[in-house]
Amino acid sequence: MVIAIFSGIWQLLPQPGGDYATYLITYVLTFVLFVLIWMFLGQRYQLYMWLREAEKATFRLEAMAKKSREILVSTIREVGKPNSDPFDEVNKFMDFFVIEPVERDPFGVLKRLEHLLDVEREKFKDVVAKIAPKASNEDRANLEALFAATHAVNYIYKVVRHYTILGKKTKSMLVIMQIVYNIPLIMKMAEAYFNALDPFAKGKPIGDSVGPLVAAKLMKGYPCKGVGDEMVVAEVPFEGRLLVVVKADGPGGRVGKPGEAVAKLAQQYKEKLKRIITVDAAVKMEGENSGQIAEGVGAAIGDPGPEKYKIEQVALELGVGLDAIIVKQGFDEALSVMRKEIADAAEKAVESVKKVVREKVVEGGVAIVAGIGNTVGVGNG
Amino acid sequence: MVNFVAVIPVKGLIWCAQGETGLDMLMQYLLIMLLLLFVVSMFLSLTRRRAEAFAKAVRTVTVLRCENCDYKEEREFQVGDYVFKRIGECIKCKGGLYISMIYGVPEKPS
Repeated sequence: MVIAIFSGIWQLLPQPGGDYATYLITYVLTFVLFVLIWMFLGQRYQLYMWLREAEKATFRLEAMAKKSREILVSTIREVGKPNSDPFDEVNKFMDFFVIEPVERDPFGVLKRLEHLLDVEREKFKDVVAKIAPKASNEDRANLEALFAATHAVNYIYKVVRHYTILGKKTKSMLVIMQIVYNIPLIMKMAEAYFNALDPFAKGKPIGDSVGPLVAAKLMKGYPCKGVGDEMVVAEVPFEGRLLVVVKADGPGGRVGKPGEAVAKLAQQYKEKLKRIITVDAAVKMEGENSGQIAEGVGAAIGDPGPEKYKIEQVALELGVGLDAIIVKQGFDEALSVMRKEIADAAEKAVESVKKVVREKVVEGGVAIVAGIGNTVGVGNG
Repeated sequence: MVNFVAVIPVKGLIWCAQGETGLDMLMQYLLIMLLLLFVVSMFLSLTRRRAEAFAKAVRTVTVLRCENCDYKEEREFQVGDYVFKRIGECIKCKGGLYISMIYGVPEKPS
């Protein structure tokens, strides 16, 4: 070992008969040159590599945005039988935006947010009704969800393109570094929305449909009626108790307004109401298994705020306990066609709901069970 | 820059060809690294791959069950299928047949 090291060093020394001066000068000059190159060009080279990475992602996102618009347009043509070409209308709608309410004065911010979300939903409905006049109600609901997914892919593409072009223009490492370091997560999100196009176009259940699936399993065989906005409810007798099961109206891609429905039902059954149980899909942490069930406390609902607030508020007002049951899954799984592990987990979640009811609701009592999520591909039991 | 890219590597190559000392070997390593860097940069700037978008390949399965007996059937998903949709009669007991589950199975890339 030692001999090997020393022989290596010996090799670097000038050998007898060599042109010592030329070698030494070249040797030193080459090193100086390399140091200077890395000093002045190293950052530029790094910037160039980052820009290439960002450009590659932009190209890929551009292809995804284009393809998603094609899928949307072909679905509209297929189910909506429009009189004119919907392409221009779709392109125009891709620039649609919602301005969040002012938060400097927080008083009533949730009501203002809810109002804006209602207006946004109405806008989606109007556009779909205009460009797909002959689509059925269920197909319209799926088209609205398809519009939302296409809009999301397009928006992600535009943000990444913006930072890439800005980075090129300014040559700022700070600008380009921000986007490049986030690209793996951004691409994952874009792919998740892109993979949601097929289930929404064809009406297949997605991972997020597990909440409504649990509710539908509970209400199977019992008559259901409409409650609130795009929600249905069924009264299900269970071991001497009454379960009031609520979910979005299926099988179209709807999420409804579960908070409003739960608040309304809670007031209706307030005399005997003992528990409000929400069941929803939740993003798992890395290392956790998909389809894993977890029980907790609170309102399991991933809305921007108003619906969750309504559930919490009515529970507080009536002094009723809030239980949450979540089915864990990856963000990409929540938007892709429901995987078998998650479909199987729905049955386990039903058992968890029953267990909570047995433990927390006395005989003769009432529990509200809300299946939260997009009910695409899931009927009303 | 021209000197860096063209003259030094050529001179270095000539020196490398002339001698067999350790310094020559070191020069050789440096020149190879330099040339590699140059070639890779040129290759990266010249190749502009057109990206294509592909959705994850998933086979969607619809599971049918009978309400009365244990009959179970699996088939490919058809547009219009949804969970708890009534499909028809059970071939075993003539009971109601319904869709009990729809799930996706990731397809292995061929």
